[in-house]
Amino acid sequence: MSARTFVLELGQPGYPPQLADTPDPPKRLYGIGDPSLLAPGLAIVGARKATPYGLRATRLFASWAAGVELAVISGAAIGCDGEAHRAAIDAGGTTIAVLGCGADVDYPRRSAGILAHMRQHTAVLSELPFGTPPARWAFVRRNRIIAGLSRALLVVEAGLPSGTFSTADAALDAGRDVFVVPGSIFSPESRGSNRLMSQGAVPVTDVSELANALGMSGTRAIHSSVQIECDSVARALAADPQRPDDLARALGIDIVSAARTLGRLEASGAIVRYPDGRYGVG
Amino acid sequence: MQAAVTTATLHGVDAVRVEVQADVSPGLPVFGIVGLPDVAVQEARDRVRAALRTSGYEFPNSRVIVNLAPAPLRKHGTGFDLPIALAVLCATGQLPARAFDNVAAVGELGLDATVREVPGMLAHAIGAVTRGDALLGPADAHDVVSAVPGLSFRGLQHLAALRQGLPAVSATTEAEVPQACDPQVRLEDIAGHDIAKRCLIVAAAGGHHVLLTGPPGSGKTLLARALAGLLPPLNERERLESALIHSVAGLDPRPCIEGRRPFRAPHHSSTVAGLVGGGTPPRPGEISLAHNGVLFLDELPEFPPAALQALRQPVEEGVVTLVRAHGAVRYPGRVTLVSAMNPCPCGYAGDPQRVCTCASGAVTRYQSRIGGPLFDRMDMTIRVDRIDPELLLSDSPRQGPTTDEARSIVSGALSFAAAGRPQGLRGTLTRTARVQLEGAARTARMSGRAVTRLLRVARTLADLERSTSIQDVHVAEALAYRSWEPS
Repeated sequence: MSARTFVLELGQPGYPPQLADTPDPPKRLYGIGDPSLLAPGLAIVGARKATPYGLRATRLFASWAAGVELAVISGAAIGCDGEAHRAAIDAGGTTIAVLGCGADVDYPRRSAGILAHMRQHTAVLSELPFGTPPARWAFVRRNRIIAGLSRALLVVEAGLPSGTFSTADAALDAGRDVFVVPGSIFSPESRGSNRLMSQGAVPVTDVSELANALGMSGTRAIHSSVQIECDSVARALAADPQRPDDLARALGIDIVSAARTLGRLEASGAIVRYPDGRYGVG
Repeated sequence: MQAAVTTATLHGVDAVRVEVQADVSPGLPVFGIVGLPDVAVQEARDRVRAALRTSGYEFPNSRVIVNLAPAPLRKHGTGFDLPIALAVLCATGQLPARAFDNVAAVGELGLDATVREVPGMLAHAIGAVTRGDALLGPADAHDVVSAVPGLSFRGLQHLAALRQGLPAVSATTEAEVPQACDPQVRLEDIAGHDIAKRCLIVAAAGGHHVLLTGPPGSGKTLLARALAGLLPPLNERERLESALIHSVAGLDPRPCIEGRRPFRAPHHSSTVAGLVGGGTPPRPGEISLAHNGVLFLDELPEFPPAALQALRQPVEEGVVTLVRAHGAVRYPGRVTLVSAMNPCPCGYAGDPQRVCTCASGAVTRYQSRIGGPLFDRMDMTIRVDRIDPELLLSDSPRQGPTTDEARSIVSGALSFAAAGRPQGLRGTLTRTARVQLEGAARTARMSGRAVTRLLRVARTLADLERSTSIQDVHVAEALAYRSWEPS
């Protein structure tokens, strides 16, 4: 075990006060890294099966948070969680992972790289003792720690059903604000996040909106509006990702010219192909 | 008394000459066959003995030894029955000693002395022509072997017919002009799926490999079957090649001789030997049986991984080389590979209406069963989704070309590619197309093979428009059909 491991007891000095105030704080926090970084941060969570849209939104808000020295807290899962950590690391900010297994266990395996980086430079936490293997129930329980450590929760993209809901519930129980990035009403991957919004979560459509809501300056904000090529295909795809067949039908063009335009736009980087075969603005 | 008759044994798709020598000498009655015969050849003793008796000849009541030369070569199959019987007849003076000079005899004998077909009649016919021999064999094989130009074939129905001398050379029937097969599935019967249909036409025109992914019931199998109808009939050379493999495998070669393109759809429980060939003696696999046609692998990730990976080399090179202790055997296997798969174990990943219930790791694992190297060889990867019921049930005429129209487009592209334009790929690329391809290849970190394959698809797209040069629109369209990375 590395010398940088620490154990924080509830009620002892060093235990994050914002977490101690929540309805069901963990008795002990096991961690690796630097415990002094556990200031209230921004929790960013979202679907594992994230679309390029979700990943891009995650990166946008996580880089902003890193820039204004707000710790990005997430669960190191693949998809949105991992992207949030990665974006914060890339922007040189603080990012903290809370795991559903021991803080020294690499799970999921694909996140081993970012976990190693966080153990070295920031912190990885768990309420479970070191070496505990992952268990399904533990991930639902750890969601309340992610919510409790933060001052606000941002849900980027969530389908239905989604584990993100338990994080959102925990955030509300702890009195934290819940923000949501709206998605297309046609996208199954945004069904859960849009549902949260209709239940009262606050939509954020820009970095400055989130900054204002958190009472922080938006001066270092990165603009989220995208430069769209003046092309009917690109504009249609920016509004709603589509399959080539549907796109050709909607625009009334033949499939060969649709395929050629898509190929050209994809090669130029203006649009991307989703894993499900749809094209959209990345 | 001694006599010798020429025959052949199969080695791959080749008929290797074998001399059947018979020695009849006084002594205790015995009938032995030497020269590495397999069990089927050993059993020839009982069939020959009975067939000689039923056809009114006499089996010698003395010591009969048959040698199959060259002795070290393994002999297999029942085609040795007829030459053994003839050698015995010549050696006992019941037929003239040199009656079968310049004749290769092949055929199985029934106990009633009828001469029956054996696998590989076409290979024997081709072997006989190259050696300058006539072929004496079962009369039933006439319509098969008459596909071989220059063959003089003497068809024998019954061993007793030899009393009237060697059968006359059968007249070669002029091969009929091949007709394209009547497809089971026609393009005009399929609603929607415009981009998939376009890809099928491109695949047919250029022999490109296609991977169709999509949820269950979306029409992947239907589309793959429609491809068979888009291919023009086999040409003369292809007919003989494909028929030869079917003949060697013991399957009916007549559909190939009539010009019908092979369409093979092996089940996903197929083994390595079943898919690429193997066994003792080696038999051609499904990829060779699909030579010049379509090999359709439905439920691709369900195939045994070893069988899939064994496809890599033949899919690239169009030939299977099986190396065994006894030597190497080569079977041709130039196919258009069409495969279909679900995106994940539950089948609904990426479906707009149904939620995928698979763990995200399971999806990746499922897709990685195909493996990067085989994935890299897929020229076109197309997502096939469930179509709108409204589109499916509407009475309005279907968009896009019909099967007959598409087939003539494909034929036009094929003849343009063969004769109407300069050959080669790189020289015909326009400058803008080259810039576009270079940029895309760098962004997508394409392998050299991926670039070459992409260029080949672009070449086919240009052929479809009878364009001598590959233009940027062709490269763009080819890019749209290629998967950038295994997702």
